[in-house]
Amino acid sequence: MTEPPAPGTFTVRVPPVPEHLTTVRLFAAAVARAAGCSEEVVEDARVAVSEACAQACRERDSGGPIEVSLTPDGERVAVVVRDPGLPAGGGRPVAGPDEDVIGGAELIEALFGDVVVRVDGAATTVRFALPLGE
Amino acid sequence: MGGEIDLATAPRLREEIVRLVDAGRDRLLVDLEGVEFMDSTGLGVLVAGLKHTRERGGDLALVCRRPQVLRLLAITGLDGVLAVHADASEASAPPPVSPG
Repeated sequence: MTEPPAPGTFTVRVPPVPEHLTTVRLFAAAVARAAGCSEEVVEDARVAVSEACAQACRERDSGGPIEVSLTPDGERVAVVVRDPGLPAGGGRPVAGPDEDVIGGAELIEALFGDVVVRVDGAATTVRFALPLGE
Repeated sequence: MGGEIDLATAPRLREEIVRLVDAGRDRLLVDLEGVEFMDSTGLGVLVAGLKHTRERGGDLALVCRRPQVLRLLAITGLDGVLAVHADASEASAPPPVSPG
């Protein structure tokens, strides 16, 4: 991810297993940094994208990949995390959410304000945006 | 501690805390100085550890100066729940993983 920021969308697809969260964080940080986000925003982006993907990993351990897309548009970086969900009749919950600590969409909202979570059948889409500059 | 504490690695921290507390070490100081990243799963493990030690009359505190972790603690409101020290010598009350 050393290429300069260009119009368009950067996308990575990863299997829904916790061991790949590191890769997703590196990807999100690299795109956010290249797009011109401050280091504080880059750090928050790592947390937010990781939380969105971890939520998917908590809910299933099989099925299609999680897709993470970042689209810099010169004013912000739009982030979309798509989780296709469990295949019909397959998979199992891996771990329940921690009730004592805010996480997932709630934490993303605390970091970046507006976050839109859309559930469509088994699939879940989480959208938020990273500010550019200071 | 070092590396990243997330959904993949938090279970190891959880097991270590339970092991120490079950061994009678209920005053724990968790040094996060080498931790490069932590998510809500890691925070959940620390809060569960705090509860676990307090049930035994002990306590759990953190050593941390890393901005990402401090910011996460502040955003989640856990900076008012978990004691955070800038270095281990400052946190003299609960000695590092010593028997309580």
